Amino acid sequence: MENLLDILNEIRPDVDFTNEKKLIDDGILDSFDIISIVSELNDAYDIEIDVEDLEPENFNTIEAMLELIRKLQNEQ
Amino acid sequence: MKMITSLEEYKELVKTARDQGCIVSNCFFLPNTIRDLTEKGKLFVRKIDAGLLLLEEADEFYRVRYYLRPGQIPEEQKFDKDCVIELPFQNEFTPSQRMQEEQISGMGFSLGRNSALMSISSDNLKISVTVPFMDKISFALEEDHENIYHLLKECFDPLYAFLPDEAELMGKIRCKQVWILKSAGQIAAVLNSSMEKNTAMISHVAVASEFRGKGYGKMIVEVYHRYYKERVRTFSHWVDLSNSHAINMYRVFGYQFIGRRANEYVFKINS
Repeated sequence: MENLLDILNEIRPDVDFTNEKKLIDDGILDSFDIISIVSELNDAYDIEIDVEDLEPENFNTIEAMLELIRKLQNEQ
Repeated sequence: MKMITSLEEYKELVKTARDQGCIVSNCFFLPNTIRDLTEKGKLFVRKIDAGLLLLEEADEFYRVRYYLRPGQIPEEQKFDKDCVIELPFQNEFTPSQRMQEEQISGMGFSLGRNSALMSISSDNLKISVTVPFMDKISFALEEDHENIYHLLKECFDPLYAFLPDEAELMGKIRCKQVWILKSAGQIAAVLNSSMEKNTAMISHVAVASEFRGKGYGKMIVEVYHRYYKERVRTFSHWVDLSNSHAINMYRVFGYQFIGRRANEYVFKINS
């Protein structure tokens, strides 16, 4: 979780990723953020986030992103 | 070029491209965006030798996104409208992004603009004690929308500026997100803002050419700051890195660069 938080804070240091629960639904993260986050997570965790994974519920919270990472790592 | 008519068709196209090794992309549309674009008939696909281009149709140009094979330089492309490709990055290019720049260049695009995000917390924002001509600055009214629309088009290149169309502008005016400064009965300056939860963002600050050099841009930004200071935690906006005047102004307020960058590459049909 800490590593993921570091990555997200690097991209958006102004966002409280620990407490925000609707990062996508509330428009806190925009499309540029998504591109950056997906690229960084793909590199950092050696996963491939696919178009099927680009659903708001996978990126609304840091916990959801962690869950997505674990799912993709397990699928490999 | 073919119109994409549904989210399902979009997913199938992208999945096929990725299965064929086209994994380099600047495109991460969320489903709602795709649904919206396909319902309006504004999303198109072009299959090219190196992968897939997705063209989002704006009024006078396309925003182009891609899925490409790593390392494969596409052929030069032709379009019937001006086009822009956005490549966001953090601080500096990664090797992958450097390669993407080569691929973008191979398609016939050239660098149009370097942008960066400036940001500041509300707590650290510097607010002036008084704002000159504050009585001339107010929320725009619906009757102002046409003049505001023309001023924005006069001051900004639509390829880069994400200008609102008339309906969007009217919506923003109704939501009290647009300020105007009037001088001699004319709209001398406009500030178009947006707010998402805890962040206020300036989308555009425009000063009519005959009113420049009077500090109107700074005044209208001050009023925006005063309005949002107790309502948000953060202020942000994208700035053209060649606009040193704007950068200096925002620095006076305390804004800083936070590492988010974006390059915009353009293809112009008349160049």
